[in-house]
Amino acid sequence: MKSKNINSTFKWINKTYLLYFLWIIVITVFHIIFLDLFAIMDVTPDLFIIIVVWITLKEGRLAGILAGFVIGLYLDIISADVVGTNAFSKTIAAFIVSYFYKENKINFITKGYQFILISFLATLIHNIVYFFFYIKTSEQDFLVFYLKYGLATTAYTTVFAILVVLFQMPSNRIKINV
Amino acid sequence: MYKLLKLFNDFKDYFIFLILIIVSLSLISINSKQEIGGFRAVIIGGVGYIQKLFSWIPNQDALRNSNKTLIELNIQLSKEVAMMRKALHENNELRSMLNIVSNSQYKLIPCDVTSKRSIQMRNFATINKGTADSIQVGMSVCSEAGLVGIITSASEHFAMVELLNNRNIKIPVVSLETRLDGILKWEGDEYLYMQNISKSSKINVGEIITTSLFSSKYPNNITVGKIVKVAEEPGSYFSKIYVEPACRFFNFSQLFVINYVPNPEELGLLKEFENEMIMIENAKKDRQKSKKNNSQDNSSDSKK
Repeated sequence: MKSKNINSTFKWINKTYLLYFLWIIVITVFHIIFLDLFAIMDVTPDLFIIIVVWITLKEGRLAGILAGFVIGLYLDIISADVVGTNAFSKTIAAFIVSYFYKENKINFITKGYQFILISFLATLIHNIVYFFFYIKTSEQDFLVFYLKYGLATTAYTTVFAILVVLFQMPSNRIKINV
Repeated sequence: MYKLLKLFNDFKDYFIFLILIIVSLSLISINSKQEIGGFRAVIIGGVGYIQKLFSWIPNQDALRNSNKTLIELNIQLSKEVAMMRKALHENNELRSMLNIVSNSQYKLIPCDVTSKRSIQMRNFATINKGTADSIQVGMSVCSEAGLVGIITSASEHFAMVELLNNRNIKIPVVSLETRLDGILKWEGDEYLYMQNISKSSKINVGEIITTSLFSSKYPNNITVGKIVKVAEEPGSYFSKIYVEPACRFFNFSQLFVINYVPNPEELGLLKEFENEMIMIENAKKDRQKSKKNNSQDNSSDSKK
């Protein structure tokens, strides 16, 4: 009986993380192939931070900061960025978001306007940290650069967070049996 | 030990967070390491390959920016090409001018054309050299191709050149091969015309025409043009010789002033002789007129 429970739990853990892994692959493909098509005056959304926020709000602090680190590192490698910058900024963002994690209100938060607001906050903090490292070696003014690109990226990413919430609405929900 | 483990267990999230932050910062600091660069090269190659597979998907924004950049670059390059063409033309002109300076028997004063104008079928060019540069009225002007005109007036720093395409131009010329002398005139079109060549004289198309020794204004042996057509004029003893000017009318920006002025004593003698001939001619005409009048008076008297 006990072994049956362990097997079923293990099965469930695998399915969820497998799903996250698949989503990361999908976002990677989108990032590599289609992101330029969605660029508006060189500003693109950061879809990876949305999945970091999602994992943090669904799984908790530890899972969130680990996901932030791994996804950030992964993004640093595939985007030829300074290795560690995305890992650093996404880990911090995940840590901040983890304070909004409530075990008994997971669905309520992830399916409502709270998700949009938390995504906005997470992206804002992520961009502050990230762009700090980004323009560290240049002579540009951080505030001017952040107001131009940081806020724009935050707003654009929040638009995609809105799409995530809309996707979960009952009238638009697509049931996937895994 | 138990307390330490309990502490770690209670705050494991914070400890792991701290460890990950330290690892991230360490990675940032060792970013320039060769091993990471090598690994990244493989990843970038893979990503580049995937992007290349989907490069057929059109990107409107990128295309628009690319078009805008290309248009700007095109305009800039067109300007540069125009400047280079002008420089090449000038270069070729100057090279041929250098040749003529070294081969000329006369001293040449180079100058630039500052303006060109046409007043009542009389065509002039203004050059940027004047009396301060030893320019005098009566000096001939030529280009690297041939004779262009003559200085008609000069100020301290500028001079006016009366060009060949002027109605009062009369240049004594000679054909180089057949050595036939004639007078070159302009009749309003693109050619000059060599006159006083009888139909019996043999003159060839393609012959070069130069100024002759008979000229008192122009130095001799300066190329003027080339015969392009020989036509027979009905009711005349002379042929009509079409001469293409060596230097195209108005097609020059740099010229040379030939530092040669006819000897004033020679000019004075010529003028004196001309005046004498005119006086003799006039006297002849007067005598003929008076004779005629006398004969008319006699006939009217006899009728009476």
